[in-house]
Amino acid sequence: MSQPGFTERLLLFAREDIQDSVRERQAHLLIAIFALVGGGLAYAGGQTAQRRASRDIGHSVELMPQLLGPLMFLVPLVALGVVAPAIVEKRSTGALTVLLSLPFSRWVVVLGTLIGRLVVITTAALVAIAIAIPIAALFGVSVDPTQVAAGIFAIVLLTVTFTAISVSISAISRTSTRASFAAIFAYVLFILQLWSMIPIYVLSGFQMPETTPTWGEVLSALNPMAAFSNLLAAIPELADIGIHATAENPAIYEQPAVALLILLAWIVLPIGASYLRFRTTDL
Amino acid sequence: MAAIELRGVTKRYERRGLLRSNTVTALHDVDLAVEDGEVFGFLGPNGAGKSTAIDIMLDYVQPTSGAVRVLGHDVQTNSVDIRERTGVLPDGYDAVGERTGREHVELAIESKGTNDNPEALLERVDMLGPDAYPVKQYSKGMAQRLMLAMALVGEPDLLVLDEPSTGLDPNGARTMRRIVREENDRGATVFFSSHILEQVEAVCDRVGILDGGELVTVDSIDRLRETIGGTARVTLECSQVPNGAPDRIAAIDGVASVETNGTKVQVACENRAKAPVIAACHDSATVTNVSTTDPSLEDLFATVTGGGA
Repeated sequence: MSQPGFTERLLLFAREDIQDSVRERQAHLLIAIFALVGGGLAYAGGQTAQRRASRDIGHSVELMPQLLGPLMFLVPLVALGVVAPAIVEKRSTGALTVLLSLPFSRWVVVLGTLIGRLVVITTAALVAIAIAIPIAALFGVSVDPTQVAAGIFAIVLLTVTFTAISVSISAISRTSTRASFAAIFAYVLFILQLWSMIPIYVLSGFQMPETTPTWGEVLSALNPMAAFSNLLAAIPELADIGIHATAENPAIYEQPAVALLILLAWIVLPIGASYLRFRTTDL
Repeated sequence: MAAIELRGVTKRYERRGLLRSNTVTALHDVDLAVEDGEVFGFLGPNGAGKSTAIDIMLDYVQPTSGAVRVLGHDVQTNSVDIRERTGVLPDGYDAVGERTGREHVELAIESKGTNDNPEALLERVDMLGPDAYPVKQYSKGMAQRLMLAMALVGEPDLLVLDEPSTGLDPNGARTMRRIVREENDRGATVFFSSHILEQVEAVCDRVGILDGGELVTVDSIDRLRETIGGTARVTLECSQVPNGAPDRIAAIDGVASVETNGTKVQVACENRAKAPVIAACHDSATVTNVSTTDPSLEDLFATVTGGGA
């Protein structure tokens, strides 16, 4: 009879977290939503493709640009909305009291929640793509394998980023209400680019400057949504998806490799910081 | 070796406000050692700081100052090592998701990596049957039984039970006491809190009494019993309080105090003085009602805190 190690307990916690979302039918709902979105977008793309073919317009319709645009708004929304209550709700009801009476460390709670929720949301996002591909093929939308691979990589990375931000919010919030509010705030901040626009506006004397100062450009690029676009620019056809158009000659902070690092930082830093806080919080 | 050791533990809850802040001291400089293999009862009125002390032992809450060691480990750095060998029935818990009772027990078994039989554990707390329902639908007493089953997983070296008899019916309370004894016979140290004296004295080797965040006394049940000396309270209702009766009653051997309140006479005395007290009143007035109560926890507190009686 030997005690399970850190990894076994982490996987156990993640597995239980996944089972929670299955029991509460949350996983079903998410997969259904994403399947509908993926299928719908592919079908819509198919209609456009057939119209273009009948009028003999040169451009064919490509699947991934069609999919990634809406998915990049949906994934952060779902990650922030669904995951933000995860830990704080357990804490306020007292379920966390039970879990922490067992040999689960608080690090396992944070990391296990992250992994568990990631599995559910990533599965849902991949279902969207998996459903879209055959429908696209059926209606004459072209499916480029390189773009699909790049798109999947980027979407998974975006899911991890926003789930990590969301788990972090959940770990440091005192109440579910505050966590939800912080999650909505984060969504608006990143999606609407308020992240960089507000500081630029305020620091330029309450007006939008005609040319954005360099520090403003850097700040923009640090927004995970912008980093997502900049990362996609590694595949030229996918460059112009996203909340801002990618520059012709990207500056160093707009390079895909740097964008990748920025996204990784958005995963590691919030999780690390929130854990340090959560570790010593009173339940 | 001490199974639980608190040294100079202080916990202050601070609430910071814009205009004013307030601080509540839940525990003040508490030193406590619970020896290996004993059943230790932790007594105190509501709000005395019992749950705070337990929460600190379980690393749910960080002490403001002081050191806590459980099973030889520091609770803040080796909390998982401690919980591998500890069974906990916490306070203020709730079901984990929509799991059934059995799934809760199975989770505990898996987290501890033991080969316990969930059936046997559920049987022991008399929860076979309801174990198939979601714990969210359980009554308080059922949830308490289930949490006890979870605490028993893996034959822990230490059981920490926070107000275990809350919500239990008399059978449940009896089962709880029996299990505490069985676990102790097996060699486990048992630490539990309660505000009900009877439950504590039925099973505990020693008790600690916490009042207003301070540990007032730590002693064996027998010694505490000697201290309170079986003080009972007699209340007499008379048509009118006879002249000089309080003085006459106070003179009776074994009477600790006399108070009058309108037509009521309240007497704190030893059991043997009860009858003479009633007789002393009955001689000179019509006694309409008599009630007596046995020594209560309040009296015990009053005695050990020197607060009267």
